[in-house]
Amino acid sequence: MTTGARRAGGEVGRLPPGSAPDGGLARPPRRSTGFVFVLPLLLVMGVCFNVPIVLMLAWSVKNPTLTPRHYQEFFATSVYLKVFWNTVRIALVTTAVCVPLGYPLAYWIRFLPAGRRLVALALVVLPFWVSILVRTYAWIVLLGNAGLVNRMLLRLGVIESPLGILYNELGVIIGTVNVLLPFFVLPLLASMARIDDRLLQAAASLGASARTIFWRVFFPLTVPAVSAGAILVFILTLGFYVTPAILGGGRVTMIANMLDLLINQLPDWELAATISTVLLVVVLSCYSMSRWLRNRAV
Amino acid sequence: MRFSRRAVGMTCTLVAAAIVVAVGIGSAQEMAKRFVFGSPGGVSTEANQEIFWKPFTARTGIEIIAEVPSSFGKLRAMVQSGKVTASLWDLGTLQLEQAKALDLIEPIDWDQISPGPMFPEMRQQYGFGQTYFSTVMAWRADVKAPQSWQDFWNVKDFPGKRSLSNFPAYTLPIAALADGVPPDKLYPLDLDRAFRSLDRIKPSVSVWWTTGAQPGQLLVDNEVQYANAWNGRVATLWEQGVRHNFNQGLLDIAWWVVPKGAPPAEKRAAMLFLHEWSDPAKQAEYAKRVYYTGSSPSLAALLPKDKLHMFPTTPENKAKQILANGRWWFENADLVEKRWQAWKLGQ
Repeated sequence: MTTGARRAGGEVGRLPPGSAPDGGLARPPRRSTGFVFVLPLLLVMGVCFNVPIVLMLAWSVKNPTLTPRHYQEFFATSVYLKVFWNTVRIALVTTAVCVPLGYPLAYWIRFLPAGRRLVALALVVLPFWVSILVRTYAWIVLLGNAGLVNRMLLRLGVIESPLGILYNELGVIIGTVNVLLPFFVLPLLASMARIDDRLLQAAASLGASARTIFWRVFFPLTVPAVSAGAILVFILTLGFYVTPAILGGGRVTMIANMLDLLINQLPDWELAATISTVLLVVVLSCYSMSRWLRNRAV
Repeated sequence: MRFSRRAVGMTCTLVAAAIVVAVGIGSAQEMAKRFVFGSPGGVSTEANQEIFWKPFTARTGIEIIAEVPSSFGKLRAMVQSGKVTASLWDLGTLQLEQAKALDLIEPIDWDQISPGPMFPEMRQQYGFGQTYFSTVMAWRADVKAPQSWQDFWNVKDFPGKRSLSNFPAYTLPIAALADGVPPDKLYPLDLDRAFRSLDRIKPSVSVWWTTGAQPGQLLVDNEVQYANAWNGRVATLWEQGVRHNFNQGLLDIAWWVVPKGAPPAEKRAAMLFLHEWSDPAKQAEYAKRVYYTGSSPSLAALLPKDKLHMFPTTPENKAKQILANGRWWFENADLVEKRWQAWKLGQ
């Protein structure tokens, strides 16, 4: 960390003036004409996306007349609540793993020289270009009983029988973290890049140790981005389908898998709409809570 | 620009006449030059295209357009939105009952198809039985071969990890059979007994599979040593050391249905096509590739002699198996699914 801070200090003079010290703080004046340009997108989103979604969600309260029946069924059936809670728990664990993995990575990339930073960034973004299905199946090759990890550990004599890494919750969490880490790292990196190096220099010139500079200056400035990224990862995990379906081995049921079942197998679309509505409410409250926290912090 | 009254009158008459003629043709027994076919995709759809579609199009000029995949949700959305584009759709036995109950499909026009001889259970008012498939026991060639589901459940004498289907319809009947329920007493299914039986095998099940390709792959990878699987999926893995038999297999039927409100002219073209599917020679070509056998009782004679034991409906194999009870599953699907999920979450 010391070298990182020092390198940062040495680099400041060479940074282009483009990274304005007030980056993001200055607000452009509101203009009503801007609205006109957004109108086409608004129409497409509203008519082609939002209206159908609302119509689908309306299935949860009508069949065919207004009824609370489906919500009663949802809250009275322990299976649905269990799946719901299971999903929330996996999302929490995924977030809890993504943050300590992603933060040092973003920090490290932030203080790399420009050329190497580009390479590191490309490596982070690379998985985006590989289909999620391919990536998920790749984990089977790595983590299975006859996979690379188990075979290597067996040959080294570390373990006597293959570890059960795959086809359980651990496998699912490895998969979700793999997919979602870039979603956490990239916005965090963007926010770290905006931190003015002169702040760190100023702290150093006043005699603060590298540790103090990090904890008292750098880290507090990244907290909003960390919480925003964490919320993003949490929300995205709630909707995961492919990863639990493949890496969970049918032992880990998440909400999306449940919805697939209700839509394509049973079929109980009213209940699917109910669960979707509850999920949407949970996601929206998480989001507004994060907004509220951030506004309070500022 | 001015038109004489007479000219306008003439034009109107001509237009009206044209409309009358057009409507008249439409309502007559007109055959469309194309229809849309909701198919599951994969190897079976490929085989269907090569063996049935292409010669049919070459002979009749009727083009068949694939809609892939043919999920139940898609069918329901299509029919309920009133924009029915497909004239044939692929459904399972349970889904056939569900589709009937939800009023999503219309009767098959058996008079127009005038099929060759078919097994009676393949002919339903709302469903054309395309092929049989069976949920069978499969294992790696390097482990002890089970002869019954009781053997499959016996982890002491048949050690190894198991994979079972995550669809209760393909696993619960097996659990009941493994607990000693006689095949002819399988339905109505004794759920308590089936779940108690599942409790015993649960510690040895490492994967509950959700797609047809999974069990075969798990066996090839040595991830599990025993699995239940669809016969066509494991038959093609013989060379890779996967074995199966039809003892107490769950025989089931894959159906073709007509979505309610399919364009009439296109439906007629589709019915014309279904006639092809009652041809045993073509069914044999199809079965050789995917190991799912069609509706013709005389099919067995046309199958390769050396591989006869690999097909689900040779007289010998058919006698060993139990035909799925779609009606029971339809009546109990909701209840079973909830209990299934609850049971799995309890593990």
